[in-house]
Amino acid sequence: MSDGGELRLEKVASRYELSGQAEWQKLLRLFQLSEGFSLLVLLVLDVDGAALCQRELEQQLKKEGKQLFAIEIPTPEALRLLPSSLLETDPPANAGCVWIATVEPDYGKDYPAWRDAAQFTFARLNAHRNSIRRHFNLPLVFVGAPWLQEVMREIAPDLWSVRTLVFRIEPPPQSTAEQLVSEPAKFDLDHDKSGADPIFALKEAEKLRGEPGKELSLARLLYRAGEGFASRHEWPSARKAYAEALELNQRAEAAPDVLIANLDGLAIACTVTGHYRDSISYLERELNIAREIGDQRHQGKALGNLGVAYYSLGDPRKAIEFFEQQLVITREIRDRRGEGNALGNLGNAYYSLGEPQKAIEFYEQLLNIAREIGDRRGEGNALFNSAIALDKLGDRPQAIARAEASLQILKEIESPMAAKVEAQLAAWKSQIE
Amino acid sequence: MPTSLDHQKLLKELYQRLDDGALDPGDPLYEPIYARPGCEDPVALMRKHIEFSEGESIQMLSGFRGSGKTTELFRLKKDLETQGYVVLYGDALQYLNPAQEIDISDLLIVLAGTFSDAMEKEGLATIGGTSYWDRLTNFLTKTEVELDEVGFKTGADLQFKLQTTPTFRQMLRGKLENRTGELKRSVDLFFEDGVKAIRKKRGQEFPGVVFLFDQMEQIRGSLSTEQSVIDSVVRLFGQYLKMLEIPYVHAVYTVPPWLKFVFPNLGCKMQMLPSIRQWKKDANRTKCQEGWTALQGLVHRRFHGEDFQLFFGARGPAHEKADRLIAVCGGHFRDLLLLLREAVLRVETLPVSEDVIQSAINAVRSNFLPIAIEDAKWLDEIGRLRSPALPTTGQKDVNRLTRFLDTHFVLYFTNGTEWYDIHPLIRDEVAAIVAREATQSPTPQT
Repeated sequence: MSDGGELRLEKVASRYELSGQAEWQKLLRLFQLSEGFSLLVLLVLDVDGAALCQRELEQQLKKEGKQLFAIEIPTPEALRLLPSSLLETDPPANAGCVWIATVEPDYGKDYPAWRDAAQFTFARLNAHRNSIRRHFNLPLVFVGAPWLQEVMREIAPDLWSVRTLVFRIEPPPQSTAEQLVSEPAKFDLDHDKSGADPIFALKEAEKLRGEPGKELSLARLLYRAGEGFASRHEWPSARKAYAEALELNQRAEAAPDVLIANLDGLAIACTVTGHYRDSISYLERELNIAREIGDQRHQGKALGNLGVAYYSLGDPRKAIEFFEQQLVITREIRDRRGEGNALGNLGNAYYSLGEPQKAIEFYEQLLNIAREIGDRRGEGNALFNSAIALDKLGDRPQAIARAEASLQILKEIESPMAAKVEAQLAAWKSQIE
Repeated sequence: MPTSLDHQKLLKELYQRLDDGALDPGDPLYEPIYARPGCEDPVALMRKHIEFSEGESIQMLSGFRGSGKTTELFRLKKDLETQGYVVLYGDALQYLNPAQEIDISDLLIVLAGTFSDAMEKEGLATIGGTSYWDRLTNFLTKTEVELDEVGFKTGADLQFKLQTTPTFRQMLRGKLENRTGELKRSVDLFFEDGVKAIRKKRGQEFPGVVFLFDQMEQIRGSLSTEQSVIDSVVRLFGQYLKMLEIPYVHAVYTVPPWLKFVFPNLGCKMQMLPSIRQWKKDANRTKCQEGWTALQGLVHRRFHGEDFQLFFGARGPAHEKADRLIAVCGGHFRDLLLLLREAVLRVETLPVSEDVIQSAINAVRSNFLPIAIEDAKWLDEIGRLRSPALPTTGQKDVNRLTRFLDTHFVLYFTNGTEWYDIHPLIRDEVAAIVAREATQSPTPQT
C-alpha cells in the first residue's frame, strides 16, 4: 500500500478504535476458539471500514503463521461470477480465513448494480449451503455494507440459517451536536469544557501509587486525568482513567458527590466509546446515589444520560422514558438549560422514531428556552433540527428558511456546525434547481 | 473462577460444542427435543404411520430452516432399524441441482439411482449384480433413445454425467418426455427387484424396507428469483404425487414447507417439525414448561457437568441467565445456539455477566432488523390471531409467509392443533412499527 494509503488507513483506524470495540473483540475471540468451518458475516459502513478490518485481521492471523486469503471482487460483474468460482477455490494450506468483501454503501452511486449482483449471487450460493460447508474447513467471511444482511436473509435463507455469527463494525458515535447534517443534532454530553493536562495529572498520580492512605488523592488525580482526556476527546484513555479512579474512590468510601462526578464522567466515556451497557450500569448507580442524597440536579443529568445511552443502543422508546423523567425534574428545579437538553433529546428521539411532527413540537419549546436564556448555540441547533424535521414532512421552503436562520446564528458564534448547515442548505437548494 | 488458561480452554471447548451442524441421534450433543413428554413427536408419528401401514406407504417430512429435519430423519432411521426395518438413506442433492427445475422423469431416475447407491453402501445385494444406472442404460437402449445422442455409453457414465453436467439432465428429460409411464414401470420394477434382493439376503422375517429421501426440500431455488423452479416443484406434487409411491417400500420425502399452504390437502401424510412450544396459545402467552424443559436439556447437553456452573455461575442465578437466553430463542434450537455462541464469544470473566447475556440478546435481535412496515403489519396480525393470516394462497403471499417462517420471524407450533406466532425477539419492534404507523395515519374527520 502507498504511503498515502497507509496514512488514510491510520486515520480510519483512529476513527474506528477497533481494539475498544466489543464486536471486534468478539471476532478475534472467534478466531481463537473456533476450528474448521464458520460462516461469518461482517457488516461495515464503507470500503474504509472493510480495509481496516482486513488489515487488522491479517495482522492477527500473521502472528499465528496464517494468512488472510482474499477473493477479490472489484465489480458487480465479478460478484456475479462468484457462485461458479467459489467451490473451485482452494485456499492455501496456511490460510486462516477466506475473505470476500463487497462493500458498497446504500448511498453509493453503484449501489443498485451491487445489490442486484448480490441478489443474483446469494440466490445461487443458497443452493450450495452444504457443499460450501463441506468444501471450506476454515472461516468464510462475507464482508458487506449493512444491507448485505437483508439480502442474505431474504434471498439466501438456507445459507443464512447456518450463519455462525454476524459482526457489526462501525466507528464509535461522536456524541456532539456538531457532527450531524442530515439528521437532527444529537445529544449534548456537556463535556466540551477545557480540561486539565491529563499527562501531568497522571505523572502526579504515579507518585502516589502504592502509598497507603493516599487512595482518595490518587483517585482525585486520576479523575482529573480523565477529565483532561475527555476534554481532548481522547475517550478510551478517559474511560481508563475514570475507571481506575472509581475503583479507588469506592474502596476508600469517597463522598457521594465525588462518586457521582466520577460515575458521571465514566458513564459518558463509556457511551462515547460504544460501551452502552456499561454506561447504563454506571448511570443507574449515579442515579441511586443522587436520589439517596436528594441531589435533583444530578438526578436530572443521570436520567438524561441514561436516555442517551438507550438511544445509542437503538432503543429510542426507552430513551424517551428517561428524557421525560429528566424533563419533569429539570422543570421542578427550574434548571432551564437541563430542560432544554431534555426537550432537544426528546425531539431527536421522536425524529428517529419517524415522528417529525412531534419532534418539531419539542424543538419549538427548546427554541423558546434557548432564546429566553440567551443560549445562541442551542438556538442555532434547535432551528437547524426543526429544519431537518420540516424537510422530512415535505416542507422544503420552511426548512430552508429555518436552516438559513440557524446558519446566521452559528456563523455569528463561529460554530463548526455552520459549515455543515451550509452544506445541507446547498444540497437542498441544488435539488430545487 | 478458573485460571485464565483453564478459562480459555473451557471457552474453546464450549464454543466448539455449540456448532449447529446436523447431529446423529447417537451423538452425545444430541438432545431429543421433540421426544419429550408433552411435546408432539413428529418422528414417533411417522414411525407409527409406517408400522401401521401394510408393506408400503408414502409420507412427507417438512420443517423450516434450522428445525433439524436431517437429524430427526436420522432418529427415525435409528428407531426403525431397532425394530428390524431395513432403512436406506438417499440425498437428493447428490444428483439434483437445487437451483434448477425438476421434472418427474428426473426424480424417478434419481430416486431409483440413490436407492441403488444406498443398497450398495449398506452392503446389500445389488439386483442381479447390476446397479440401477446399468438398468437405466438398458432401458434407454430398449426404448430406442440413442445413447450416443444423449452422451453416454455405460451406467457409470450416466451416473457421472448426472452429477456433473447440468445440461445433461435437461437433454435426458427431453428424450423421456413422452415415456414417463414406461419409465415409471421400469423404476417400479427395479424397486421390486431391490426389495426381493434385500429379503433374500435378510430372510423373510423383517418388517419392511424404508427409503428416506432427504434434501428434496432444497429444490426451490430462491423464492424471490426462481419462479420456474418453484413452479416445477408445484407441478411435481400437484400432478405426479402417485408416481412417488414406491412398491414394497415405505418412502419418506423431505419437502419444502410451503407445499402445506399451496396444497392444504396434499393427498398423503405430511409431518412438519414445529418450533418447541415455550408458551401457550392464550393471550398472555402463558409459559409452557415442557418446551422449556426440552430447551434447558439442550443447554445442559452442550454445557454438561460442571461447565454449566462454571459458565453461568451459581445454581440459582445460573439458571436465570440461561433462561434469559432460552426465553428469546423462539423455540428454535439454532437460534438458541446462536445466542449461546454470542455469549461465549463476549465473555471476559467467568461466570458470564448479565451484561454479556443482554449483549448477546441484542446482537441476535439485530439479525432480524430492519423490518419493513408492510411486513410488520402482517406479523402483528399473525401475533394477534396466532394464525398465518394468509390473505390468499397465491404464490406471492405464500412466498412471503414462507420467508417469514424460514427466517424465524414467524414460528409454527403443533399441539393437537397447529398455530403460529411471531418470534419473541421481534415482538416489541413489530408493535412499535404498527403503533407508529397507526398514529401517523390520517384519521377521518367525523
